Amino acid sequence: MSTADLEKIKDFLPLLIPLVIIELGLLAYTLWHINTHENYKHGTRALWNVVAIVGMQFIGPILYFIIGKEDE
Amino acid sequence: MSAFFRKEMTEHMRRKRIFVIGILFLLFAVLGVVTAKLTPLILEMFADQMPGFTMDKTESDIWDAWGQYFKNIDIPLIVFLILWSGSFTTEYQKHTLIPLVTKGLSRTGIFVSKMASAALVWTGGYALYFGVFYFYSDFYWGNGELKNVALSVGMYWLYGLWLLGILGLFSSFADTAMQVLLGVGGVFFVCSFSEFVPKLAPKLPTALTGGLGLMQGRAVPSDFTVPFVIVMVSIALCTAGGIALIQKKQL
Repeated sequence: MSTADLEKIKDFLPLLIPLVIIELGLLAYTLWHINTHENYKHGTRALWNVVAIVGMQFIGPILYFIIGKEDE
Repeated sequence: MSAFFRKEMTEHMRRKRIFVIGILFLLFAVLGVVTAKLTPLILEMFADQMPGFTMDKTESDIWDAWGQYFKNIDIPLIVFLILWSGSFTTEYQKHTLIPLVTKGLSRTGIFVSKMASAALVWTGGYALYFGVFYFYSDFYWGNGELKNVALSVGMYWLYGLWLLGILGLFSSFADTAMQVLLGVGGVFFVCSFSEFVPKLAPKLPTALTGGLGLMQGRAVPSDFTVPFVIVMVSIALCTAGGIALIQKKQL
């Protein structure tokens, strides 16, 4: 990798770091939420664990909170 | 009535609606900047492989970014409307509003509180979206060139309120969330198709999404007087109509 490429990556760091932090934080919170709740609106615990991890780039956790999480 | 408003806000928190909306607005703000920064790089890679394909510019500028701003906001707005489409109808289906009304809460109070809490969430989410985007735009390109920032950004906020007003109107008489969404979608499609008529396009509420021109100085604030008035009047009509219709609604 040339230094020009490294410079380009550095340029993106201020965007990437917060994204990664939010992504991992959201994933951790979602997994905690899935595994501390017994009932879901749709689907099962195993299904939601898989969806959250496979779709960890935001889509999995968001799907869980919109259609998986039970109404309290 | 203010107690009902607080109950609504608590419910949005408990159901994680605010949480999801917050994450979405934040995500799309950052992704908008990423897209604007990445597009020239991707085109450059493309140009290297394709002989005869030349690039006009290799650096993205601030207008690419704010173009993304007004394009990207659509998706969180749609998700917001979908999440709120059942706000009234699930209560009708579960008959949970009956005890409140028999205890003396007015139907007008219910309607106004529900709409106000939804408007507050939209305002908060949109402010977050704008704040994050504005920060990154200043960081990468500098915001000095931008004109009429508050107005052009505020217009889209008003556009969101307009769609929310229509959502409220349909919620006051529809039975299911799907009917509400079809109603809002229907109004939106009529507007979108009317945009093909060149004379009509600058007068429609959808013209308020064109804040980019105002920011670049291609348009002046007075260009948006007609859609602004139309939107204000239709928000007022939707609210009045919603309040009138919910009085007769079977709860």
